[in-house]
Amino acid sequence: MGLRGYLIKRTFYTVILIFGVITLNFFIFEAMPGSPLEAYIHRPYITKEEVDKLINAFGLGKPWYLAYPNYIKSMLTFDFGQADMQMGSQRVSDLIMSRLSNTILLIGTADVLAVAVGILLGAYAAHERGKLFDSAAVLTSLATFSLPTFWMALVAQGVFGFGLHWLPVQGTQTLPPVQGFIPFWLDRLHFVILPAAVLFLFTYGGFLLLTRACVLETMTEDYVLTARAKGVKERNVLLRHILKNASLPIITNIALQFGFMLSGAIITENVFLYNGLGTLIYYSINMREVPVLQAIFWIIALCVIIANFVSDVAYGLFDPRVRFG
Amino acid sequence: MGLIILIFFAFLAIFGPFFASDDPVSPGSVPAGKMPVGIVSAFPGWYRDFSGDPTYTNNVYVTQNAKFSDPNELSLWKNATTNSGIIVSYNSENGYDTARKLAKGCIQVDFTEEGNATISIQFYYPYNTSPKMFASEWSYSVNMQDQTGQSGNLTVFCDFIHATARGEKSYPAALPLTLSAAHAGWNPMPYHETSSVNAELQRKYGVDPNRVIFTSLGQYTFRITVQFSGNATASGNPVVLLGDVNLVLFGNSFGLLGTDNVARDLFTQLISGTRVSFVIGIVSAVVSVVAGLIVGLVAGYIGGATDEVLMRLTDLLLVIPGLPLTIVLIFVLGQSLFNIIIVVGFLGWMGFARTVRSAILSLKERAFIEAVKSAGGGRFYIIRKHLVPNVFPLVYITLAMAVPGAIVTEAALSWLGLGPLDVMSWGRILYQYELSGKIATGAFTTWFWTIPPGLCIALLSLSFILIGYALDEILNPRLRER
Repeated sequence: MGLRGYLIKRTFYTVILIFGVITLNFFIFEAMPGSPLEAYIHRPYITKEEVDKLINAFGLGKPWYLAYPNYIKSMLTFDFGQADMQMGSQRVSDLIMSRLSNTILLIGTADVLAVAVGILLGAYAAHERGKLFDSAAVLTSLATFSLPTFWMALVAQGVFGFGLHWLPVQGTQTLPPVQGFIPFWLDRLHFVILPAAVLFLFTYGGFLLLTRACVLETMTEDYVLTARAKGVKERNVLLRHILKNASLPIITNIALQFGFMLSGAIITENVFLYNGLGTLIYYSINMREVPVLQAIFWIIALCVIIANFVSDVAYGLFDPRVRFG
Repeated sequence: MGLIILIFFAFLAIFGPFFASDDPVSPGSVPAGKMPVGIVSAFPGWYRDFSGDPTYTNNVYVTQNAKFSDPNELSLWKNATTNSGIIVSYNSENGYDTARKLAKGCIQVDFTEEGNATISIQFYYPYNTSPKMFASEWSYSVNMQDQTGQSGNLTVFCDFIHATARGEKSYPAALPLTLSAAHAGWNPMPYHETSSVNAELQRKYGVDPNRVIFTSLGQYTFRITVQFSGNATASGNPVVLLGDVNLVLFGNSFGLLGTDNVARDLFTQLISGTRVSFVIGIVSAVVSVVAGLIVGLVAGYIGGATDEVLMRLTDLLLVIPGLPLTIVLIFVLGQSLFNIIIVVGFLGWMGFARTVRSAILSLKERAFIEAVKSAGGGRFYIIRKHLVPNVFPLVYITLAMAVPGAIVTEAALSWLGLGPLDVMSWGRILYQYELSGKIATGAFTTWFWTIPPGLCIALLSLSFILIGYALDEILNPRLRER
């Protein structure tokens, strides 16, 4: 099978996967106890007619086989309707977009740092294999990796926020927002530091270990020996010959981690009450905001599917050793 | 290394109940009437020695070995009477202990004339800093005939006596308690009633009575005086029984890890959490590994349409965001230990299923499988005898690696308040910390509450990861060469 056949097969799988995700999403939330109407039904002066009207407005009265096609249509067109009640009747897509940008600021900061630090330290640890630096790097990354994020967040919050008053304790920005473009973003960054640091500690270990493993694998290749024999500087051997060749699995792994990180931030965001997707997810679960949840699950899953697809194809395109089949 | 940590935690989990007896999950506050283990938010007991800070005092158990339930213990008490017609004796038939149960053994005071009977115990208070609170629980029973107008008065006084160079000084430790014929049968004076005495005395003394009474280290005496005035014969020769006295001077540090904001022992909670984490971690890892093994075997060996369906299902579960899905499923199924194990287990098998499948795909083509087939080995025979043993090293490694994930997920769920309701887990300790609001008021003074559970989670996870690495190195010969 050639590249074209491979692409067709992958695309076909992806389409199946997309429908699978949409369907699964639908039935999980069908099974969720409680209805979004509960907040209304228990109001003392609401009449039966008004309840019926609301049921129709939300499309809740329909049996699943009638609601399902409607639901698929709304998922595919990204028209998720209104988020109701406590959120001031925003459109779900607007709500998610505003939260998503906050989360991306947070995760972006944390992950750029984590990837950079993880790769550099990982490569150096592999270079120093068996020495003190290597053991220390592996052990600390394992340790921060196994510390629960919420605990790190609690401690960081307690020490740097409540204890020392260095950094804001929770929230996304100063309210009301600071005026001026640069002060505004500085303020935002000020609020991002703590949660980003926690996420960074949680993620860099994974990248460090991965890079270390990949570099160790590449080190035994013949061309590294050749480079050394030619008299290439050790630094250049490490950066140009080894790291460059070891980078492909690292890059694909970063792509695959994307969805994991989006949902992994849920805990950290909740500790710091950071207005991102994570807090939105948890709030929506508590409030039975099913449309919001369905939309978020769908969007995250879609991101992961796309990242998977791209990394698969990229692997096929850039690594000549990969044969399709 | 990993094994040592693991064994340590396993030891804690198994033998925990033997050295931590406080109920870890008693909801909200301490049950009514039960003596707490310490004061609210007490520091760890070793902190005083460690920091050298003299303002920390441990609990002093005045009557711990001197309750009235054993005749030998009576020798620790001194008794005296003002008149010969009053007799203090040991009653081995009757009794009522602090656990609110009928027991054997109590102090009996018989009055055949007017006067006082005193029972006192001497104890050494070892700190120059006064305790934060004294509290007691005890019980009494009165046998007295109330012939209107003729019966006398029975009163109980309690006081502390501090002997210094300047002489003895007495401080009331309780308000006078008047007994009457209505107190026939056992009447408990539970902790809550006696602790309100502290507040009453505070009003009386104007300041914290502890600071007035326990000014420095030295010998103190706790004295119970039973006073009778009136005509003893007309009152039918009153008899007073005193059961099981439990007097504790609470300091501001206690035990190994102090107490939380409702005076529960944190060490007990931590021990209880060890068991929960072990059970959840190991059982859900087993669930996910078994599920992954079955799916991988079936998909890899049978192949074809079955393979396609199973692998698409695997992909599907891999792309749905894991933690949010777990939270939603716990919401759907309800909060319990069993549900957490099931949900975490069934959302964790996908990666392993893929690994097993690819291993099976390559094994299937090997010559020895062909040989078995041509020798007439059936499908199940091949799976059981040849495929499973060949992928089993993977099972051990994945098992060790899947445990930390499950432990951390449970902790996160419990921290969100979605953990099992009837057990105390490490995540729930932190959830209660969050609820208590202590983080805002005393982030630096509650470290003994926050740090241990997090470290325990990390250490236990780390031990499983290290074991996984070690197994990987042992069972994977390719890694050993490098």
